Amino acid sequence: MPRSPGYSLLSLLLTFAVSTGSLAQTAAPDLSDPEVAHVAVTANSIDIDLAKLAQSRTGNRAVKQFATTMITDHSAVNAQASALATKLGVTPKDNAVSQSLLKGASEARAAIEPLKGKAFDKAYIDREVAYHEAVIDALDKVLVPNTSNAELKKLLVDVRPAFEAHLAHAKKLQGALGAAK
Amino acid sequence: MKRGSRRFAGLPIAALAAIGVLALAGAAVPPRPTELVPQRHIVEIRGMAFHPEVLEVRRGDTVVWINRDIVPHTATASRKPGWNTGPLLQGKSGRHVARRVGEAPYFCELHPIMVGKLIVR
Repeated sequence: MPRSPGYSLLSLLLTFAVSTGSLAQTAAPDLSDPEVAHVAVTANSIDIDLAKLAQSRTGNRAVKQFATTMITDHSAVNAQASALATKLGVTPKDNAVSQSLLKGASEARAAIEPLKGKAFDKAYIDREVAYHEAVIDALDKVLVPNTSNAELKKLLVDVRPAFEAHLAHAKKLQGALGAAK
Repeated sequence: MKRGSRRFAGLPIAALAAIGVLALAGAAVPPRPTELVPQRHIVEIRGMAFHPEVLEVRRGDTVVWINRDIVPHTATASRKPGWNTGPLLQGKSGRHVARRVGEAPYFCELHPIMVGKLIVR
């Protein structure tokens, strides 16, 4: 499958690590807890925004239901993250990884937005498969290992099964959309 | 005085008779076996799965789903028209009384890859 810009969160993180010279010490950027929190909230918000576009554009009932679930679930995760940050007195801190994510999301949206009908549905679901694969990879290799606070780490670990379920759901839709071609 | 004594003496006999009747009545209706009293079963939703995934119940039993996940879930009958707990937020629960004997597959409407099954005896 061709990969559009911004599809691999981990590659973005690794690119960031290379550009900051931290790859020599570790294969991932060295993020503080406030930065990890910001990356997590940004990653969820990106998926919510694209789902809102899909909700308003798709005519496919299953794709619309998927988009609704993405909005519901990623909003719930962000609400928990915000509540935890408030409890811990942590202010999510903007950083180069979050900025890279937003840039990638903007490029991906620009590629999907002009499409219509089945082409739109396919591009959206392809993006969701790739995005969730990348987010799960980044959770395992970058975000969880970088997190010091036990409660923040637990939240990241707890949301992983939801992202896996989203990925499986998206792959199922991807198969159905491919078969309907 | 004599009549009063007779009446007084008769009361315990009547009371004993009443107790005897009640005891006999009780003996005629044996206590309901525990397994026939409708039971309450708990299905926990955690880690994007139903635990247990397959649950055997008796007709009339109540199944309660409790959502332990951050994200909302439903328990929705796969066969239509059917029962549906509706969206359950974290920590909330929904219930269903099993009325029909047989297998009752169900799923989460929000996450269709999550499936479970009731086996109603």
